[in-house]
Amino acid sequence: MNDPDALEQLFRDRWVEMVRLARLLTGSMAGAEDLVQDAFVRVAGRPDGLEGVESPSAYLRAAVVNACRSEQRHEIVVRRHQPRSPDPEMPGYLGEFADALASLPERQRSAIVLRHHCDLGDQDIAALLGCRRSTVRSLVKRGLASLREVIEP
Amino acid sequence: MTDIEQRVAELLAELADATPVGERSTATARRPSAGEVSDHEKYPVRPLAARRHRHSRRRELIVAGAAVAVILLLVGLLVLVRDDRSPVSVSAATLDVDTAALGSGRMAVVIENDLYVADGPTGAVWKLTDVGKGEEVSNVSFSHDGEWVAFTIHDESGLWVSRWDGTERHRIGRAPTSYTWSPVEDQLAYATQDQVRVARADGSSRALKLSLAPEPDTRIVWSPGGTGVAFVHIGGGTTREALEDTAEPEWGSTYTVPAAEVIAWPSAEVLLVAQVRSGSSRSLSAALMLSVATVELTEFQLGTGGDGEPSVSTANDATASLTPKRDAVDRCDLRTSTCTRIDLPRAFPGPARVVLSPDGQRWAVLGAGSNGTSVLSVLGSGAVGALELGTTGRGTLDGWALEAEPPLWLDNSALVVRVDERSVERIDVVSGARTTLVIGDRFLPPADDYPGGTGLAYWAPR
Repeated sequence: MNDPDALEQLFRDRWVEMVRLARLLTGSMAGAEDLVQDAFVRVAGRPDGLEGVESPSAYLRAAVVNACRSEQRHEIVVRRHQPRSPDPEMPGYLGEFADALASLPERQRSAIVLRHHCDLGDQDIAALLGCRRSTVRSLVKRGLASLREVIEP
Repeated sequence: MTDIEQRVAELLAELADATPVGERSTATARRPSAGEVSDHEKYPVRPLAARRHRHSRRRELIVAGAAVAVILLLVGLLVLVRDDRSPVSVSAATLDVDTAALGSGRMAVVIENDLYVADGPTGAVWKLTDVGKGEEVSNVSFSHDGEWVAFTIHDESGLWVSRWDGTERHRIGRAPTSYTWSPVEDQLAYATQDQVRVARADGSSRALKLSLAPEPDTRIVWSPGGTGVAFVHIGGGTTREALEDTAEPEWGSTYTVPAAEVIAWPSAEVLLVAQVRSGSSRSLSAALMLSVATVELTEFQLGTGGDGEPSVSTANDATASLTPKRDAVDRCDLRTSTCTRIDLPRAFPGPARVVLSPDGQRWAVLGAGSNGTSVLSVLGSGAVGALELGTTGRGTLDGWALEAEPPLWLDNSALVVRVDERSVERIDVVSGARTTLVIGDRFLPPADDYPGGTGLAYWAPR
């Protein structure tokens, strides 16, 4: 797939989905679109385009996950000391859930989103996060345990 | 899918739908065209950088340099503060530990994300860490003489080593992927993203000169005499697979083997490597026996489609492997490549973990029972059979058997096991007698981030 039209179609088809994924992975709306655009630019900037890439969608998702994780490593200290401002248009329970999700350690949040939003299996998540499958199961379990306190107070 | 998983999935979908997406989702978005993508000056990796070009490049560099200097200064101060932090002595009143039941040994256990070490002979209990919420202590193990304990702190702090009483603490590496203590010296080998290093307990370390980088998440094993380490490198995107066997003074010998993981180095002549077959979940479906001197490979089956991780004995030159299934264990003789099925006294509804005793004559299988309980089956010569251990307090043990630490053998007749989210017990496998070693308010087993990662460790003088 080294066709500019195909790349543009991928952009059109996946833009909204990827921005939403970035928002969930980072726990913040701020910069989600920029992160996804960065990911698109990186994908488009490959010398061979998407030639030889078996699944452009999966490749793009991996690029978005990597971009979000990289960004969060820079932001982690800042976020710890900054209270999040709730979205006034968001229902209270959803705002609480969003806060709880954002307060999870980055890897737990990524594992939860990739499992329960993207419906990925242990193997795929382990490949994206660079860890073992047993670690994925542990991260998901721990993340769910923390979220349970908000969902079932 | 459980209720909580279903609810989380619904909330994630709702949160995603509530995410406003800007105009770049339309055809007017600034996106790469065929001409632009090949021009890196016109198309920087980060789009925001394009706007920064309006500013003075020199001014940016000065500001960035100053910021980096300030950050490095703050990080340095933080590291110094953390390194100088004294361990905290903890009494048995605040942490309910039965040190008498430890005998002449020492136990390290993670409770509420922090690491505690209890010493049997002196009755002392030390708290070695004081980590913040969101960080996790894991991958705990003692050096060969029990004098030092190593552990990792996630997600940022890396690998640490201290004496068992919390003194002389050193950070060894920031982002190791795995580590293993030498069997004969107070030094450990650990892997980073592109190196294998050997560190002494005083914090000094050196990188091994290798022709191939270690695989992420690789397991490192020491030779029995502590003169060499082995790990696996897999060529990215190809079928090329190689095994690094390094022994001073000739570090860096490389053998090509069809394997994905090095399991054990039980004798000078034998190294065990294994392969995880695709499509076979959570199980090794084949393994190889390698004579290091001649690179002679023998392939044999460990088991087919087991539900849990296989365990290979390191006793008797690793002549046995066990693969747990829901109602049985496949026991395979690695020299004759023959396997026998041994029925379990209690079937598990989910996956189980199995661990061989030091002499290889008994084995313990930990799994989830049917009513929110965990069940330990101890098999082999004169062993007690099935024991019902405890509950998680949540009515389910989904995944507990895989996430809890495997049972830890104290000797050939007793083991330590984390029975639920509150307590750790010592169990005599012949009489079935049980002693509660530790009671915590509430704790989860630590994440199994590295091969062999655990929040439980025990050492006893030989």
